[in-house]
Formats: sequence, C-alpha cells, structure tokens
Amino acid sequence: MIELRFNNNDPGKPQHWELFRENQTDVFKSNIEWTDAAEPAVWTTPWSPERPPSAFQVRWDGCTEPAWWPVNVESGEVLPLPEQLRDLPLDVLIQVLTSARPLHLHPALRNRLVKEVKGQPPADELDPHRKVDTSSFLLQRTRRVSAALTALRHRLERPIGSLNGLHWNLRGPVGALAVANAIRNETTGPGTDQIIERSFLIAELCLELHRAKQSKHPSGALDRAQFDAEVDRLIGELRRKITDDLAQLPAGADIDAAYSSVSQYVTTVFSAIGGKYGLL
Amino acid sequence: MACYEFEKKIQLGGCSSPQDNAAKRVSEKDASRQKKTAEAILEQLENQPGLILADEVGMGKTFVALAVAVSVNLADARRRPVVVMVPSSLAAKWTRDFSFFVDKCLPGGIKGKFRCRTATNGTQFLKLLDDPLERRASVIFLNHGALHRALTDGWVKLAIIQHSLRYKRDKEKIVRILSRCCGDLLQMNWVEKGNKHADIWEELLQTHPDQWLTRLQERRIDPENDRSGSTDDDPVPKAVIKALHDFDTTAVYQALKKLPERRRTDDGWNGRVSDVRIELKSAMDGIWTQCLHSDVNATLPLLILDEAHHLKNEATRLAGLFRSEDSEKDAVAVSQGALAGVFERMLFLTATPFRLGHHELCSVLRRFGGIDWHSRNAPSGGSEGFTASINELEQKLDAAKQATSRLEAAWGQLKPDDLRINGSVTDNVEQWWQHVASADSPADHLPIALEILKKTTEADKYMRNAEELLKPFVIRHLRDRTFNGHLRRERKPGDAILTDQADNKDRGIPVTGSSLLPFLLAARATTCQPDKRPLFAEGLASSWSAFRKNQVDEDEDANDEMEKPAVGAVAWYLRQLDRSLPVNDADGGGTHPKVDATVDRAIAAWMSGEKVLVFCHFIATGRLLRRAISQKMKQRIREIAASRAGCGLEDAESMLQRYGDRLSASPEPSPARRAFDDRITRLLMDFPALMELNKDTTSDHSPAQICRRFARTPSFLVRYFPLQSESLNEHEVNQAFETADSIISAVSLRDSGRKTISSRHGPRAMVQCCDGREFSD
Repeated sequence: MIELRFNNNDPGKPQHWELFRENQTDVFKSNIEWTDAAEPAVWTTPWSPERPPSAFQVRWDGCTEPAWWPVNVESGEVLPLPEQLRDLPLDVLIQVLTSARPLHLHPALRNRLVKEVKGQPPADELDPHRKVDTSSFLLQRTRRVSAALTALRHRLERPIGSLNGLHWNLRGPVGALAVANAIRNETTGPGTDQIIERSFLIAELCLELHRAKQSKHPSGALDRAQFDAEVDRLIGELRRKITDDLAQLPAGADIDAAYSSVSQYVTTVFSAIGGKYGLL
Repeated sequence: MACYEFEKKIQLGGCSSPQDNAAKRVSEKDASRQKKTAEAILEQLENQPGLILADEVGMGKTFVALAVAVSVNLADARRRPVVVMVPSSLAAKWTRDFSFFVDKCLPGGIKGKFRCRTATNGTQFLKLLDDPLERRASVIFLNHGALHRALTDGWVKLAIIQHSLRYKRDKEKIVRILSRCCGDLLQMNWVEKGNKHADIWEELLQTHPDQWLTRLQERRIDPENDRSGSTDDDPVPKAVIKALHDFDTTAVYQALKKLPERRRTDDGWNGRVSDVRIELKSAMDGIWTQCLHSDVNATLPLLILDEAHHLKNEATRLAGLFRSEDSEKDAVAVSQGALAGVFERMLFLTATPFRLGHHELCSVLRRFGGIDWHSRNAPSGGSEGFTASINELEQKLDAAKQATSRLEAAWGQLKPDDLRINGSVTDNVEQWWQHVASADSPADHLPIALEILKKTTEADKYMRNAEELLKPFVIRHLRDRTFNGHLRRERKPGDAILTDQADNKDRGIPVTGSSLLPFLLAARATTCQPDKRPLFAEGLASSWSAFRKNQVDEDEDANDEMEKPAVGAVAWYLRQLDRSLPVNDADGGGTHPKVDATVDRAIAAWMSGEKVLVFCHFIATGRLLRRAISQKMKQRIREIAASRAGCGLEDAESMLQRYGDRLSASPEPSPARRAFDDRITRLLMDFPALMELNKDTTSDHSPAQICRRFARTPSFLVRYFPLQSESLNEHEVNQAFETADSIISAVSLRDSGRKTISSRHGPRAMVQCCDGREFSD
C-alpha cells in the first residue's frame, strides 16, 4: 500500500495535479480520484508492482517542471526482496552463510544456476572419488544443512546493533526463516521420510537459534530482551510449522514408530529450549 | 651372475607319468599356462629390473613364483639365495608350498639341491645370508616387517659387550663380573645349563665371535636353543661383526663399569643391570641401522615380494625399504632405502595391482628402481632409462584415462531418442552401436552418435598405446568368468540386496522410517566436531550394535588419553542418539536398514537351499547378524512346519522333534531310519575315501551318522521333507532324497562337482561339510 499525505489546510494548494510513476508518462493518480475519495488528508492507495517506487513525479497547474515526491519506507522488513535474493535454494544459502564475503559480492548469488552446473563432473577428472556426487545422500545432505545452521548461529552471536539488523538475520533473504523455507523446499513432498527429515532439521534450526540466545551477549549490541523476544517469536512460528508438518503423517505401523521417534525428539528439543512453545 | 632362463626340468603339472592323473598337481591346461607365465617372467627380467605378476586369486601365482625362484637360483653360479618377502600370516603356507613344489615339480636328480629357510627377524636374515654354500638356503622366506624390527638377539648383545670392552684396562675385572651375571643380563640362562657351563661367558668374551659356534658346539650348547643341530649357525651374523668395527659402544662400557662386583639387591644391582640393558638396546638399534644401510652389501639375484599391493601407498614403511636415491630422488631420503641396490631383479605378486587408479600401479612399478644398477647384468637402459619408461607409461595411462572419461561424458549425453537406425528409434543399444560403428554412411548418423564414435576411436587408440608400454611390466591372467555356464561372480551393489536387480546406479539402501532419526542425529553430531572421524564411520552405517561398541571403545580411549568427555552440543547429540537407538536391535524392537536387508536376503537364500557367507567389517555386526538370522530362521522353521503339518506354531517344535527321532539310533530302527541308511550307504559308495575314514557305522564320526544327524535338524527337515504324515515314514525319506539341492544330494553331486569337492578339500573336509553341527544352529 502507498500512503499519500496532504495538507488540506494550505490555502495555496493547487486545484489540479497529477502523479506519475518513476520514468513513466501514464498518470498514476490525480486530483480527480482524490476528490472522489472525499479529499482525505491521508490517502491510502493499493500498490501492485512488486517494488515500491523511490519517488513519484508530480505536476500541477502552472508548474513548468515536475516535482520529485520521495517515498519514505517506514520499515525495511516490509520491502519485498529483489528477485535475485528471493527463495534462495539451500545450496546458495549454505555458500553465502558459510562465507565471509559480503552478500553483494558473493559469486553464488550471481549465478543462481550453480546447482545445475555442479552436476556434471569435469571431463578430465581422473580421481574416481571425485567423480561420485554424494551431496544428495542423507548424511551428506544433513551435514550440509548443519553447516548452514552453525553459520547462522555464528552470525547471530556477533554484535547486532539494531532491530533491523536482527530482522535481516532472522527474516532476511539469507536469514533463519529463509533457511527454514529452503529446507522445506528441498525436502518437499508428502512422504513420511521427507516430513521427518524437515521436521528434524527445522527443530535443529530452533535449537541453534536458542543456542545463539544463550551465548554471551556482546557489548554494544541490541538490547537482550528485544533480541530474545524476536528470536522467540521466530521459534514459535517454526514450531507451528513442525506441528503442521507432523500432522500430515499418514497412519501406519512403521509410520507410527517413525512419528513417535521424531516427535519425541522434537518435544525434547522444545523442552530444552524452554517449553513455552506448546506441546506437539 | 644370474641367468634368466626357465629351468626345463621343472614340471609345473607334477613329475608323474602322464597316466597318473591322481598325482597331477593341476590340470594340464593350468600347468601349461603357469609354465608359459614363468618363461615370460624370466624373459622379461633379462632386460628390465622387475615386473608384477597380477594373476587373480587361485591362478597359481605361488607356484609360478617358485618356478622362477628355482630357475634363477639354479642358474646362479654362486647359488645365492632368492628372497621371498611374505606376510607373516602366509609364511607357513609358503614353506609348505615350497616343499610341495620341490616334491611334486622337481625331478629326483635336483630335488636335494633346494632348501628353504625362514627369517622372522633381521638377525636370522643376516645369519642366513652369510651361510657357507653347503648350508645355504636356495630360498629365504622373510616375513614382512622383519627388517623393521630392531635386533634383539642375545648373542649380538654379547658381541656388543665384547666390543665395548676392547682395549679397556679394567676389561678383566668387568669380564669377571659379567661371567657371574651374563645369563641374567642377556636372559640366556639356558646357555649355562645349570652350573655346568658357568664359565662359558668368560670364554666367549675372550674369543672372537667368528669362533663362538665352534666353542659352543664343543660344549654341546645349541646356539639357537631349538634342540636341532641342523639349524646351528654362527651366533653373530658377519654383517654385525663388520658393522661393529666402526661402532661407538662407549655408553655400553660406561654402564658395564657401574655393575657392582657382588650381586646384592641392596646396592642397586637390579637398577644397574637395567641400565646396561637400556644401553644395550640402544646400541642394538644403532647396529641394526648400520647393518641395513651399509652392510647388506652382498647383492642377491632376485626378490619376490608377495602381497605387493602394500607398496602402492608410498608412505608405507615397506615401500620405504626399496626407495633409493637413484629411483626416488625427489621423494625419499637415501637413509630410508635400506634394501636399495641389494637385489638384481624384483618380482612382485599381487592379485590387486591397483584399486583406485593407475597412479597406484605406477607407484608400485617405481619400486623396481631400487635394484642394483651397478651389477654386471643390470638392465641395459640403466636407472635413468627405467625412470623415463615409467614416466612415459604414466603419461600414456593418464592420456588413456582422460580419453575414456571424455567418451564417458559424451555417452552420458545420449538420450533414448538419439538411438536411431535409418531414422527409426530403437531401444536395442547393441544393435544401434553396431550400426553406428559400421559407419557405412556416417552422414546419416546424428551428431551425438558421430561424436561418440569419434571419442570411442580416440579412447581405443590411447588405450592401445598405454597397453603396449604396460605389457612388459604386468602379467595378469583372469579366471573364466563363468563356471558350468553360470557367472562365477555377480556384483549387485547397494540396494540390489533388496530388489535383486542391479541397475549399475550404485544406490545405497534407503534409510527410512524409524531408522532415520539416529542417522540425522549422527550427522548433526559430526558437524559439531569436524576434526573427529565421522560417527557414521564408527559403525552406525553397519548396525546399531557396532555403533554402540565403537562408542564404548572411544570413551575408553578418551579416558586413556585424558581427553575431556563430550560436552555441549556433542554431548546433547550423543545422548539423544543413545536414546533413539533400540535397546537390543536383534530383538526386533528396532530395525537397522542394512541388518534387516541382510537378514532377509540370507533367509531367502537359505530357503532356496543355498549356503550364505556374510562378511562383516565390524565384529559386533557379525554377532548381531548371527543372532538375528538364527532367530529368523527358527521362526521360519516353525512357520513352515506348522503350515505343512497343519498344526499350531506352539506344536511345531515338538512335531519336528518327533520326526527327527524317527531317524535316531535305536535298538529297533524305524522303517524311515532303515530307508535313510540304505540311501545314504548307496550314496557313500561313490566316495570310497570317505567310507575309509570311519568304517564303524555306529561311531559318531562315521559319515552315515553325520549325515543322519544332519538330516534330523529342524532346518533340514522343513526344507526337504514333506512333513505331511503323522510321523516320518519310508516314502517321505525317499522323497527327501529326490528333492533338488538338498545337502544329501550334495554328497551325490554329479561327476564334476564330486571330483571338485573330494579332490580339492579331501574327505575330512567333505565330512565336515556334511556335518549337521555346522549348520544346525
């Protein structure tokens, strides 16, 4: 939504005006629609394109050049992500999280097709060990995700100066929620094993977030209570996802045993975390 | 100077008359192949430092090697021994095979010329090398690792003591003290034979070690203490005596000086003796190094190295022995090449020349660079020529491997739609390839087909190039891939154990359901301690039991090393892992994917009358499988018995007992028992040797009793007897004997099979094979 604010008390306000999007000649809004809406001081209008504009151009009676009307963003959280950072696959997230490079310099983000390229071993590879791609094997897969979780915790354990910074780490394009979504995307499917695997891994993500909470609070960082509250809020959301997932498990003898083992573990995890996220 | 020609008197098939088939060692075809192999090896050795005999297991590498050894020894003017380095576990087998070879493959005229000796340590090896011609061994079997062990021999220690006292003013005083304690000091009290030879030490310390054998023999003291005059040898090898000339023994002398004149415990006697022993040990290490590095200077005609694949890892100590400055300038210090330059030629034996890549093979071949390049009959190209040829071979093998990888990559691009013959898609790959390869009209083929054709031609060319260079260095014979029309070995990796279908995709057994959590936890635990070995390698992928066992072992190791126990996240995961594992995985409380699959496969094979051999890396998994298979087998036996006899599961065991009792010995044999004995007796008539083993049919060890005992076992009864009447009768016994694949019918195998069993394993083994106790549990 775009919120336009007007000063109705200004006697010199123009009668006719038109609003244009950046670099566009079509009128986006004008005094006609505003008048039809009973000339509100705060006029909220829907915004359909993904990215909000930096500013609008305004023309009114008697002006020779259009004016620049900047758009202020109140919360960075609500800004949609750029296309390149949206729904990053787990592989890319792992590479980014375990790398010391700044996000915008990371090669993995420049080449989102990295996974497809990786599939083919080089033709002249002579080492038979390297010719076997084990990255999709259960243990290797779990180890890769574990590496991402550990890296995520390390990031959270560093001093974070602002709430926005914390949000970036928790809900940003390479944050905890993005990792959880990537895990869900990778282990997608209604099969018992997929559900067990992703429930386990998301529980592990919660455990890592909790461990980050327990670490020594760095000086000059965000207030401890704020930090804990935000982390707890995310853990609660993730917990609900696990509950929803496990509820999808069909009935069956072997499935019961599998469900029992993983739900017992998840319960243990959340008991260890603090037990305030509800029973499974 | 050695000569590399096959000794024509050697008969690898056995020196018997052509009609005496029983005395033949192997078939004529195999004997001929082995002879040709030995001839080829000797021919190649004429002009190159060594080669690898890489025949598959069971092709007769040992006998080919012995034929080569005997040929070289016989042709050597000085009759220098051929050294065969063998794993200690195979030393006895080699000695037996040598005796067998001399007995069966050499004619009477030259049999007496050959004797072998075994050396398990460096002293023995050095002693054997300096034996005079009349006592000299033709072949010395030297255990792997023997040359890494320092000298421990008491006589050598005595020689060091003697050397340390040279030109010392207080020599006489120390010798007097030593004469009272040398037996204890050297732990050789047996030499004194009570007090009979109490003065022997003084005498020996005043005599040159060259003369010690004579002095000992005069007093009837056996230097080897093995109560055999035939093994008597100089107590101190000449190489040690020579090495002692320039050896500094001051530390030993200083320790000897501190020995008190009288032996009293209150003046620190034990401590001072211990000091002397420590100094002696140190001196022994030094002497040994000197002997190996400089004093094994007599060249020997041939080294045969068994199990040579250990050399493929350049870091192994065995490989280090053969490194020399000439052959491994860039990799190895000359001090490690103790045997460099000792042997004129080398022959390596291995059934697995390499596993991962040809670089391993080239690494083994480079060991040949350690031969004596200065002898008169050294290969004409010299060390440089040899190194260049191996480098060239490695390059060609690299090129061949790269070419095949390119072909593999091109082939990987092929899609089902690309398989076209005259424009029509086919699913017959062989037919399609023949069409492409015939290449009458290449323009008709798709570009991908032409690309593959090109890569195939290229790979073939590179492989032929590499083969040409490899041929002189490796001889390899493979067994027939089929036996009686069936594939001898079928490889079905990974999940094929579940499906019995091998699709060459090498997929593992899926980890699913309740098995999933332990694996996930283990993976998490591993990432918490990246510097440690992955927990999956510690048995988790084998069985829960193996994992638990390894955890216990690891904890004990941690205690030994005063390591801190797992803390934090690692401790959490180990605790959770422990909770997630079933308490007893053999009781069916929890299942492990690999254990379950193995048990099911073994039971399926057992049900179809097969024997199953399961190899396990972890002992704990082996124990578990034995229990689990046994339990499942008992369960199946009860189910089958109940189903056939129409009784409940709880009555099955007693029913089987009743059936089995009908075959047991009793004063009044049942008709079933009489029928059984009759059939067995008729079958055993084909095996006179078996019948000879124990003619008393009532004895527990008679073949008939063994077969009867076996037939009474529940596992046999349910698989071969119909079990449909109230109790076992004559008709059912006859039916069992007609059942295919029964163990009893194994006794009556058709001609070829019977010969195989009886001639290769002997009647005793065959009886053991028939022994019910082997299979009943």
